[in-house]
Amino acid sequence: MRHTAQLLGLAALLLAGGVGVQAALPEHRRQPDTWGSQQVFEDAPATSLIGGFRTTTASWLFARAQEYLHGGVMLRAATTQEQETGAPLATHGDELESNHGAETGVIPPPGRDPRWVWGMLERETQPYMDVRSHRHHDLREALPLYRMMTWSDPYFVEAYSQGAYMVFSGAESQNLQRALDFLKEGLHYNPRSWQLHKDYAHYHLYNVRDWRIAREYYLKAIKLTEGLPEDKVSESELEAAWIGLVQALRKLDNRDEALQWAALGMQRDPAAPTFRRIFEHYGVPVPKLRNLKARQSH
Amino acid sequence: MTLARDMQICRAFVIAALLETVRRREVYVLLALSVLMVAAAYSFTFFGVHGLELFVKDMGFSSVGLFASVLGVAVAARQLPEEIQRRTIYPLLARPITRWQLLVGKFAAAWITCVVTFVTLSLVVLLLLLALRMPPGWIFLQYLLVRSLGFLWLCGFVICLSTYLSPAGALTVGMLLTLGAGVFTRTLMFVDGTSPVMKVLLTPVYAFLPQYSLFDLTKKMVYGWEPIHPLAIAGLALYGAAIAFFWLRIAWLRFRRQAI
Amino acid sequence: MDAIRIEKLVVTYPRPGTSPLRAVDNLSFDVAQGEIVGFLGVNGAGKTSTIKALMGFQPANSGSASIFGEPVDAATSRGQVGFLPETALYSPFLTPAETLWMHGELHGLDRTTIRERVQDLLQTVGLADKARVQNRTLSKGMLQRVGIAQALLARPRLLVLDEVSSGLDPLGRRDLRNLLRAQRDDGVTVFFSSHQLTEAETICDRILVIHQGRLVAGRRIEELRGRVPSLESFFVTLIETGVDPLAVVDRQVQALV
Repeated sequence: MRHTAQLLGLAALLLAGGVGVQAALPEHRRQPDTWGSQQVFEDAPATSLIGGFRTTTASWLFARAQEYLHGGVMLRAATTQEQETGAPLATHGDELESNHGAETGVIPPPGRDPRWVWGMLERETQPYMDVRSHRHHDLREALPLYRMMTWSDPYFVEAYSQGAYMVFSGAESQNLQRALDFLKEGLHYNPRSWQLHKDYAHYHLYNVRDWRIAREYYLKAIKLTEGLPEDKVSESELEAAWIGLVQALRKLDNRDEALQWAALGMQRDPAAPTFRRIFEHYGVPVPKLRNLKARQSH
Repeated sequence: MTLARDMQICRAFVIAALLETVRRREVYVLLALSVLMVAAAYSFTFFGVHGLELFVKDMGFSSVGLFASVLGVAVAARQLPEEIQRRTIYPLLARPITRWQLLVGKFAAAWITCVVTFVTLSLVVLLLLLALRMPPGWIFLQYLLVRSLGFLWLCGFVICLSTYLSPAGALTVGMLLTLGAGVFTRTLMFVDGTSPVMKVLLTPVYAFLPQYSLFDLTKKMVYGWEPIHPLAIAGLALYGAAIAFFWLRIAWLRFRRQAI
Repeated sequence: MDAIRIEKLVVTYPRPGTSPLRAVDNLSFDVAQGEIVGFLGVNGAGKTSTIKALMGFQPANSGSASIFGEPVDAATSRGQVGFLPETALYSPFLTPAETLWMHGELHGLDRTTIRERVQDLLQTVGLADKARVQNRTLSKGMLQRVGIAQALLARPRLLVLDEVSSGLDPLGRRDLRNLLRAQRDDGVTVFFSSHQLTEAETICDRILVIHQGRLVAGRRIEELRGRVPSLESFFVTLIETGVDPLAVVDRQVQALV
């Protein structure tokens, strides 16, 4: 009886401690993309501990999810030398343009494995496949992990982004709404994430076909990239957001705004056909790059 | 006659080690932890997360593999040093047995203890998964067999360490190299291609470095792969036995003339 | 054939920064079958090192040791030996019965013999009621009794005991004495090291005194009786002067004759 009471007391103490930390350090609930919260994260041991545990758990789950998608086959970044010597790089067979960047399998294929019989044994006992043009496993298998990793770390933007895609790509009906709800939750916790705004806008442009919301979120996304370091913004993704915004404006028949953003877009990427087509669509001559630059300097 | 005598010596050490492991109650703790891991993984269902089959299997069998390996290292690391430390080795060596027989007997004791513990933990997790309607498939049997062969490697290696290092040192280094074996050998793979000499050296170096991860079918089982080829199991058995023998001979080089 | 024969045995221990310690220095003696021989010496004299070399725990640097004619390097030399170390420690998680069972198996006894011997010996050493409790719950004296039982398990022809009476209470010592005498009556040779001079005087046929690794005296107990006040006085004089007092007397007598 006394031991039970002691255990209950200990549990109560731990609970009280947790609540105490929560109350004493409200800053740790701040968004991680603000300098203030980063400072708290680095300075306050308790916050760092809690945050460290949560982010580590989420990262571990994220790595697990990648394995689930590939049936346990592990991928890694290929070294420069491997890329030069023609190591097989991972490509997703269902979407040929969608590769894994410069990733290759952790277990090398027979021709590139110097380990002789140990290599053979590893290819037999561990999940191994030719990573070129592979297929992903049922996305639903990895889905619960995205739910858990965002519970563990609600500021894990990549988890919301990929998780929403997983939900949307699943075979069940009403997946679009579930994906949007998931993203909305991500936006709630990460209101300064340009990536989630862009994703949310994408789904509205290409799937929901609500041009107004698409325009609103594209604009927010592009606005949020201002002042961010270059390595925080993927150039190709930003261009996709720009193109999406121009398309949404065209669908809304917002001629002046569309032309204005298309002109700005051409300054970024003069070769992008989408921007040219906007000018053609409205019968406006495509501005010369020199004029664009002059306008920009003006 | 010699084989029968060797078997008798091994049997004596094995029974003693099993009784000791059970009475130390380490297995109960690991059993409780394994059940807890499966329960914790499955508990997300109650919070509305469904489709957790992979995750529960993964957590369950990964925990079993980890716990059995940790226990394996601990059991193997203490076989000889503990006998020396508490001076119980004197009456043992006063029997008409050679030091090699003692070493092999202790190795057999550690190996059987690891296998029994591992199989027990795995069966408990299997029963839990069956109750949750998440059967792991027939590859489960191969998983048990291959991991048991892996304990040959582990026990031989750690017993060898324990003859050269202090008990704490053997435990630490054994734990690091066993659990981090995969990372270590993966890193080694990067030297492939750096120079032809390294490439030639890689195979023998790789053969004698910790290769514990080769004996782990957890991923194949969890992700529902087909059972592996029987020849691969035969190869692993051969490799496990050969490498265990190698490590034991290295241990013997030290132990045969060691003053106690 | 002698039960024990040790010739020019040298055992050294390395010492960092200085020359190795010669724990046993050119030691030679033998023990005949059926004798009870006490191996006496002060702390650090080299008793335990000699016994370790005899049992094969410590490789000798030079010289030789044999048991019933077999060199101690061969495991079979220990087939007829029962050994009891100074501190009788056995696996704390095994019971006395399991401990004896394990030693029986290691000795190569068959199961029926083991079963019979375990029951008999536990009865003999007074541990029949403790047969099923774990060793860690036993007192030091009880553990020493477990040790005695394991030493006698395989009906040895030679018993080697290293400071065994040190952990026993007076009653335990008396029982041990009786047990050793009974063993001698059965023709068992007993070789034991001890500090307990009274103990040695009571039960030994012969004593060997070792000092700084060298054998300084070897006498039958009858030789001492009536010629020295006690074994203790003989021992103290021997160690303090480095001279066997009886040898001096013998030489004087020889000179007179």
